[in-house]
Amino acid sequence: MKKRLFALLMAAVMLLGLVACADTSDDGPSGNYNANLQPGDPETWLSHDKVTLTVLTNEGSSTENPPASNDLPFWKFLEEYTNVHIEWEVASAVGYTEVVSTRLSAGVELPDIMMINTIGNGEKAGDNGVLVDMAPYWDTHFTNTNAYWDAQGVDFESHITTGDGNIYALVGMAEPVEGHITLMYNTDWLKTLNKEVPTTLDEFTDLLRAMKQAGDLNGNGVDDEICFTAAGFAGLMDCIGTAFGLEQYESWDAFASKDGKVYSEYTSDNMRNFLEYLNELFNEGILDKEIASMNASFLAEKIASDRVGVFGYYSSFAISYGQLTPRAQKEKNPYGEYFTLGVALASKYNNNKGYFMRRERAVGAPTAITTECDNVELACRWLDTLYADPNVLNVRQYGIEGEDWKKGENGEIEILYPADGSPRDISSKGCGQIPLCHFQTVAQLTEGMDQYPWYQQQYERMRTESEWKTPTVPHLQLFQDEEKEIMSMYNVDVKGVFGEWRAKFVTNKSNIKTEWDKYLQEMKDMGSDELTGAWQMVYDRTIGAQ
Amino acid sequence: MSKNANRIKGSKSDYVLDAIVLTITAFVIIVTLYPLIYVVSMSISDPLSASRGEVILFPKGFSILSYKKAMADDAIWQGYANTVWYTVVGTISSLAATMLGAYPLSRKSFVGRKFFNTLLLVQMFFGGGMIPTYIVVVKVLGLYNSRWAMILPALTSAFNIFIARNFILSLPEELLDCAKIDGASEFRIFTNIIIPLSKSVMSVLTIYLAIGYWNSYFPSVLYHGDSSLHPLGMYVRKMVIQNSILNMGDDAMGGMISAESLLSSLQLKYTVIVIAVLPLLLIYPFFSKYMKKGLMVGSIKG
Repeated sequence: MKKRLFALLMAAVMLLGLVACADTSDDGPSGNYNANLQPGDPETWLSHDKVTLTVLTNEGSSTENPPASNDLPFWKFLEEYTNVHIEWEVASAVGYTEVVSTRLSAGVELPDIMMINTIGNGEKAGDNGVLVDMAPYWDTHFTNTNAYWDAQGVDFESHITTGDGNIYALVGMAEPVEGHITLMYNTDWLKTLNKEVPTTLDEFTDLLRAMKQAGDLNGNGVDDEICFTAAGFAGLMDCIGTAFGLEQYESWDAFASKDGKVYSEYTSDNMRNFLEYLNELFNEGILDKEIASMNASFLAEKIASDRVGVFGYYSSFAISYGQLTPRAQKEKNPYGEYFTLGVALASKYNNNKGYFMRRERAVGAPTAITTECDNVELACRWLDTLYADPNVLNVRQYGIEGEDWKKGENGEIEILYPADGSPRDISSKGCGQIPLCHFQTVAQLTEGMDQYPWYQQQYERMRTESEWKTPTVPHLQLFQDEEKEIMSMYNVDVKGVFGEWRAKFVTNKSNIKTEWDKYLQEMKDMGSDELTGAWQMVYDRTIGAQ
Repeated sequence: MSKNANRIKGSKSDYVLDAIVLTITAFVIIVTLYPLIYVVSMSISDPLSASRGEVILFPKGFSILSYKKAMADDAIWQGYANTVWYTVVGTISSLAATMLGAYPLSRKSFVGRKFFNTLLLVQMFFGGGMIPTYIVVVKVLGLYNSRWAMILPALTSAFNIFIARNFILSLPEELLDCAKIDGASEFRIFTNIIIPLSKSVMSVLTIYLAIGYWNSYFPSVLYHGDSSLHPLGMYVRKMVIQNSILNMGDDAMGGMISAESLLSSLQLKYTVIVIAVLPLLLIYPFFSKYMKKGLMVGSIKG
């Protein structure tokens, strides 16, 4: 009898223990977590009582913009809007990779929400139980985010869902077209040669040859003119690759698809035509001899010494690099037009339709919720509000309502300018660079542009007179296990071989006409076909599945 | 008789050797000095000349705009103050810990001396790794966002302890025996005999430690979420890496950057480097004789 009583007692204790240990908060979304809101509370609040979340981010990549803090108008607005107070932990952007890796691996002193380096890291940390799987909350707690991306036509979910169906992080968003990489033409040299901005590849080539023939266009008596340059080979692909039918932008992996079949651009005829063309320019002394080692700093240096006729880079650099030219320095006119924006070049390779590639939208640093967060549902809602609540989006993009913009009679945005004629300053209010979701906003991209009517006009021409093409293969950041395995095995080698041969073909160290097959064979040996197969899998489960 | 007459005439091979030594020395001096002069020249040149790549060695034009800009930034002064704190407190603490560790290990009468020496030797070659260290510093010691996170995790190094231990071993044993016969305790021997006689090794260690603390920034990357605790090294890194034109271009992704920012970002990094290394450059001549001594200290016993 005593034994039975003891067993009963033990069973009761165990049952009580189990009940006590049951964690109801992790049973998935309850959908009524904000039931504590009371009549009279603003509708936008996420909680009746002020709640505090801790957030780890970095200072941001640009020192021009202030790091996140509750003193900035944007974050003040968000606190009032959500009734959620943020305790910021803002680490240095330099070394942030080490900070995140160490803290995720150690799993101690984690904040509620943190910006992580790559979505792949997030997957690893998620598997280790350090990050929360947001998939169960996706449909119920991320309604704004879902609506936003649906309206944009971007399958955001496939960008962030791991192979086993979990969502450990949201990636940041980039603006679709503002500040695109394009060709920029030296206004003085165009004038001297009496030429217009080219619209076709043939016109472009003629212009470059005319510049070469004209000789001393900068008038310094030295043969130091560089007719065409860019920030390295990748920069050349970004600015004129599309004239050869390539789908290249911001160093994407060069894979495209036609009729549902993925092919490698690295080994395509388009790539061969493109490299042959560059080789021709190189032989004629038109292409920068130092193109292999070029970057934005060297570009600035060459433009400042008035040696560049045409260059390819982000369009806003027509303004800033233009200001470096000797004429701009002499005239002391910061608003002058010293470089003119080009349009996408039409050619026989793109059926005489010049086009720009649309930038991938979901590319920014990812943000995750850690398992140390006590209020996961609220954190999900807060992230959703920050990401895509329409009112918050307005503040992010245009600044504070009433100060920087107002709603017109039909609800449209009317931009307000400072009464004293000074440029609008949205970035200093925290709207230029929003960590956790938007590393770049329209506010930042267009701030100050209103002082350059010529630029705005040309940008509009660039935007409207050229086609904008969406990549035919989505450039995801997160892959499924099999894809990942193939990519980790071949990607570096294939890209490395391509980079080597590209430089050799363009700079005459190898003959593209006689050695192209040798190059193709080496690419094949390095796993080019296998890599194409992996991208076919990516295509099939994303665009193909749709 | 002139002085030259007293000189021993060298052989031909001596002259050849001298010439080779002088050439190598001149080469080393040029290689060492060039970057230093270049950095200073870039920082005080006209911004446009600096961006055009016209500065080869000496300044082209003159401008102190970047110095004005750097000095107007509160973060640089905050970084300076923090670095001075880390250097002074860190050096004193480390020196004390090193000497306190070295003395018992040098005493033959110390029980377990061999064991502790081996233990020290092992950790010289095998570290704990970044993540376990992080857990110890943050979770066990609770030093997250504390100034001591810059000092305590690397308070002593086995290498420094061995240098100090070898030096103490080189002191005559009879001195310590005499003190003992006179009734001095171990503590008194340490403070009244060992410390005064170890000034040279302590000077060398002070220089090593001070330079180490002055340049240290990585612990701050890991343990300081609060930027008001960041040392000057973090500021320099930020300026050099984060604020470069290349970075601005890539990260701007089409955003508006003024020419003034482009120019100042290039020059600012050189300016910040000058500001950061200036104190060390000014102090170094006064300690150079100890540095020379330090190369030999601890290497010879007896």
